[in-house]
Amino acid sequence: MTEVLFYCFAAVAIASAVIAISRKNAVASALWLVLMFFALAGTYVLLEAWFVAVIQILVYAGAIMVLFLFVIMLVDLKSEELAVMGAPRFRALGLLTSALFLAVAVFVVLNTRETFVAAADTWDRGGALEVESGSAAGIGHYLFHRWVLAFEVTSVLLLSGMLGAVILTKRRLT
Amino acid sequence: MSALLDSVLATAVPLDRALLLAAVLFSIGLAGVTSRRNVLIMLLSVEIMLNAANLALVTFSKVHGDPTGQVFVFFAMTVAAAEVAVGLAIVIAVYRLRRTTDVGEVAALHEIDYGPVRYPQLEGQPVHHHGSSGNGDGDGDAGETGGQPAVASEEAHG
Repeated sequence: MTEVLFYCFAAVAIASAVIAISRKNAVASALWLVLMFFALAGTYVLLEAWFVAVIQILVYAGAIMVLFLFVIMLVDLKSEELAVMGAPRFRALGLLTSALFLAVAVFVVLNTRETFVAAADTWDRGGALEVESGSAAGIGHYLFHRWVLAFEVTSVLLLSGMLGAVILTKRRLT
Repeated sequence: MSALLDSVLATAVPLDRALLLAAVLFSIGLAGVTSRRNVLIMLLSVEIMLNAANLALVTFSKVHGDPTGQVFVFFAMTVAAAEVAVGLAIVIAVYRLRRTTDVGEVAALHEIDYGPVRYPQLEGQPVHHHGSSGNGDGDGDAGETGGQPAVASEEAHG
């Protein structure tokens, strides 16, 4: 059952990602990407990362995609301008690069799959991974004990990003 | 509902398949970045690549039985949010200057004649400033463009 659900989510994620990068209309691209975010959230649930799944929907499908849609509608793109792909030579080069990367990554994963199968068997027999470790309480425990410094530095990063966005888009710096 | 979820999660996800899914998604994002010319679509493709990395992190967290990978996903999402905010601000600024989002047309850092360009003005620069105290006529703030000198003129007037 889990495998079937995983394959369904994986098929939806791959198909919507391919459609998202090949649409002429940027709004359609963004909406297909929202579907990919939801499919990945379903995959996170199957991997028992419930808090990450909820955050995925809230932050990506909620906040980041709304920001994207606002900007896409703000810059008022003509569809013939969007239809322009790269020059054919560079486009073939890019597709070749990504295909090569895919080949290398698949090779690495398939050569190390015994490790993952063994780890999954260990988990099935009862428990390297605690049941609560993917919940908000489990993540929060790690976040506020071991990684509290990184958590605080993240707030500085968000503040600088916010200031940068405001300053870059202001017409007058008074 | 919880019993249903428990029965669904009774069997494990094939973890190597999850890593393969992450690799495929990353390649799709890479193809989008390298083959499209619109900078908005390129940013969307970068988001696909970040999501593929997040999926790999969650899978490794499951493999090792350590929630640190999920904490890293949390940080990666924060960095992605900041990156998208700054990147889209740059897109807006470039679009305001050049009226395009095609990366082939904004490849030059030097100035090409694209018509009138409005640069941001700092507060201390005397651009249109012609002395708020000596500005004696009634509607003197008609010539002022900034907010700050207009307020000073009104205060001097009243």
